[in-house]
Amino acid sequence: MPRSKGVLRPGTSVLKGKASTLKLHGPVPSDASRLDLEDTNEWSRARALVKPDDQLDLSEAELKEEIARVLTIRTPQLSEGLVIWSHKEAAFVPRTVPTTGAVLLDVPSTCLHVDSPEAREQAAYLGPSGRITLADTLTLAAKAAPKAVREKSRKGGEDEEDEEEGDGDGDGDEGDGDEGEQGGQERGSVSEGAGDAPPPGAEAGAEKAADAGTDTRAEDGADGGDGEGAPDGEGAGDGEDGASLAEGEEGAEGEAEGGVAVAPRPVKKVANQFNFCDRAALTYNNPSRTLSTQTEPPPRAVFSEQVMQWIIYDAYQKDWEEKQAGKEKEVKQAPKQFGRQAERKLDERTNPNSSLNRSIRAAKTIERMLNQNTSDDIAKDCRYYEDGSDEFREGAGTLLPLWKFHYEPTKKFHVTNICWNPRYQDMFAVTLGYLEFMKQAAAGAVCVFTMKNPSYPEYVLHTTSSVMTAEFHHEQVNLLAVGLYDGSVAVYDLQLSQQDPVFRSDSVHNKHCDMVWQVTWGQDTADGELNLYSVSNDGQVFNWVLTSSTLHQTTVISLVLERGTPVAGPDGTTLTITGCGTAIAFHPTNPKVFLVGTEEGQVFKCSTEYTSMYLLSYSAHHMPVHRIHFNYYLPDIFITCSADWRIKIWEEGRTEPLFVFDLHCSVGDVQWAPYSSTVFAAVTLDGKAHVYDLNVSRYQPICVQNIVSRKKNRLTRLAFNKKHPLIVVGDERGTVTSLKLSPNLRVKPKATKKQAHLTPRDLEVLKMDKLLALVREPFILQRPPDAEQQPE
Amino acid sequence: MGDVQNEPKKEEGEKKVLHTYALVRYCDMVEEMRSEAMDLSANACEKHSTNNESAAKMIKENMDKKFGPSWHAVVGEGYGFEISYEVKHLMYMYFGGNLAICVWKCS
Repeated sequence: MPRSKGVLRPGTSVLKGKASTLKLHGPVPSDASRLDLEDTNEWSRARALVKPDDQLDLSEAELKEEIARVLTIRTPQLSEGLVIWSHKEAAFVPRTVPTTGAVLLDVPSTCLHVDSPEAREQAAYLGPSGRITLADTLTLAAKAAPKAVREKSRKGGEDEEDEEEGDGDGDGDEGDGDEGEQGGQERGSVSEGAGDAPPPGAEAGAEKAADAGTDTRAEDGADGGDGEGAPDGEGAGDGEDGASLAEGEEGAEGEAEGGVAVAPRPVKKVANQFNFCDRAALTYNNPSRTLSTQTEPPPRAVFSEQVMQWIIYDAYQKDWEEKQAGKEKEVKQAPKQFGRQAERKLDERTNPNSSLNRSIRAAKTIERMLNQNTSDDIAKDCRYYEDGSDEFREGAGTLLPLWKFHYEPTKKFHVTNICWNPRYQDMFAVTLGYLEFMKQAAAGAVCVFTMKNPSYPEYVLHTTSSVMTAEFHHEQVNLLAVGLYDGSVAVYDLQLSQQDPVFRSDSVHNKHCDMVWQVTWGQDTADGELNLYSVSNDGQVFNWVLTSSTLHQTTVISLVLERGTPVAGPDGTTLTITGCGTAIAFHPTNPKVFLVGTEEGQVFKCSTEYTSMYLLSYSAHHMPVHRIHFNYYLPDIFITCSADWRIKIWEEGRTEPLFVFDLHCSVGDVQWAPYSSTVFAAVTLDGKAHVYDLNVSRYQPICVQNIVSRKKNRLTRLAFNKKHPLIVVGDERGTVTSLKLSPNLRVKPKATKKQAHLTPRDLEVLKMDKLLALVREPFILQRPPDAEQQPE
Repeated sequence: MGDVQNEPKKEEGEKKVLHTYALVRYCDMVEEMRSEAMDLSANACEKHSTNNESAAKMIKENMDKKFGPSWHAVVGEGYGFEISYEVKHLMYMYFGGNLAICVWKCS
């Protein structure tokens, strides 16, 4: 293929980018490209040696003929607008042609335009003058430019020019300049190494660049003047000095003067991108969830009130009154509080073993039912039987024995006292001990029986000494005061089913020195405290106040015999002989007055107010007084009984008895009947019960009945039931017999027409008064010398 | 007229007993808290007998300290009120014969 035609196969020479539209001219003789021509000539001379024979010889005219050839990267043969049927899209699609260009090498430029911002920056960085000097530029260039490029530039103007050309390009647009330089280098290398590439082509390219006339590349090369100026200066330099290194340098100088600075790439040291490492990691975010609860607010209430002075005043006034009232109540309620405490205690005691207690209760119920069944006839007798024979007996009656109560462990004991419960009419307490001094044992008992269950006591309280007496409190019926043989006093609470007394005077000083014969509850103190009186063999009457936990003792009176006249002892000492108290009875209407019976047979009328004086002294008996009992209807009438076989009826203030009855046996007990003012009953040691009705006979008992066998047993005590016509008598075998009084023994006075307005009580009083009137008169008018000698 | 009014007053004054003790009108506190509050109120009113405000302040602060916050106290000779209170935390009492003290909690 003739080289002059300048046909280039695609791929042999690569012109990239905008510079690709390079016009190749034929051998155009021009002054501007003399250097080229010379080179060409040299080259053609060398080539001429291998000139083929069949080379076409062209005439001068032919040679001068201008043949325009355009080198393009397009393949002219390749038709445009090729389409291909796409089955996928069901249409003709343009067929893509393989590209005709390929990038072999890409080297960035190191030149900067002097006016570009980068260059200014560089200048500011390098020189304080703000202007880049030539030396600077050179050193910079030397430093920055790759060596290979410099060496190549030294080799020949051709290459140099190419390079310069590229530089010029690069000045306009940095990116382009880089490419151009690169392209220049490459072209150089291609021409050197491959040999295929025709040097004239390269020459022509250089020339073309130098011309800068119609060159589209120069136009594209942006900044105009600068880019064009460079080839001009260069061309001048080339033209003057020829192809030499010095000339090249000069040319470079010219370039610099022409306003183009070949600035290297910025040498500003930047941190190596591998020196640091930027790493980021994102952990999972925990999923968040909203949970809410609302608690119930504390309960609230609304309160409204109005405050005024008068409201406050009234409130105080009212409260004060209530308090005053409360104080009075408290006095009364205090014992109840004690009772409540006891109840609480009871609960505490019962709760832990409630099942046991329940079974016990059930057992008790069953026991009662069984007893009711087995002793059904007795129960019916008790309730309904009236002795029919009484109608035919004038002034005489009988006692119908009902149940016998005894408790096996206390069979050997004597019944020392019997006391009915004031509230529960079927319940009575029996104290068991020994009445004989020689027979004492360190044991005693209180049995509380109920008529509903004759077989077994409801409560049993065991003591360490003989129990001599007991009495239920008149209001706190669960409280049982007990006097013991050892001189101590105790108070039991039956509600607390426990063996220990709630109060006990067990200290050495806080007790009697001898056996307690009788205890009786006094009226409650002003503070509402319970108190009781005890009379003992040691001649003292004590008052016991039940405080919160202890019994508080005070001496009420010492029973001194023959007051004021101490008895002279054998060795000159004097003794005051005290009587041995055996019985005590409080006046029913005057709670301060009481009577004390002694072993010496004296009865003293005392008052709780005076501890050193007797109000009155009765020489009542010759033997120990066993009982003093006030009449239920006439408060001034009382009855005494003694071991001297006699029962005497007294009127207060009268030192002589109104009636005297001799029973021919030691009288253990005597009691007024609660239903009649004239009836009283007594038991004697020979086992007989005597019932008198003064209204019927002032001399003879209306009933005398053997209750127990005279040989084996003795009767000791007796007690009237307050409501029913019943008496219970105790014997020395620990047995209590209940007896029903026949109708003749409880005759009620019949009201005459005149007395219709009177109550039964008034009638009773009248009845007794009538009797008393009979016996009073003689004593007042004429005092018989021996009052006791009553005509019988 | 004035004389007529004065006379009965005198008579009253003669028989009138001045009550100064603490009188609890309404209280639903537990016993422990009640006694505490009563003592505290009485003390406060005795201490600040001329200044009801400081008495109320003292009651309130001490109650806060002892039984946890938000107590309120009103001390005065004449007022009316309608309050909501936390149940079991109200005491309304008179003290000194002329003071009404209302202590309650509401937070």
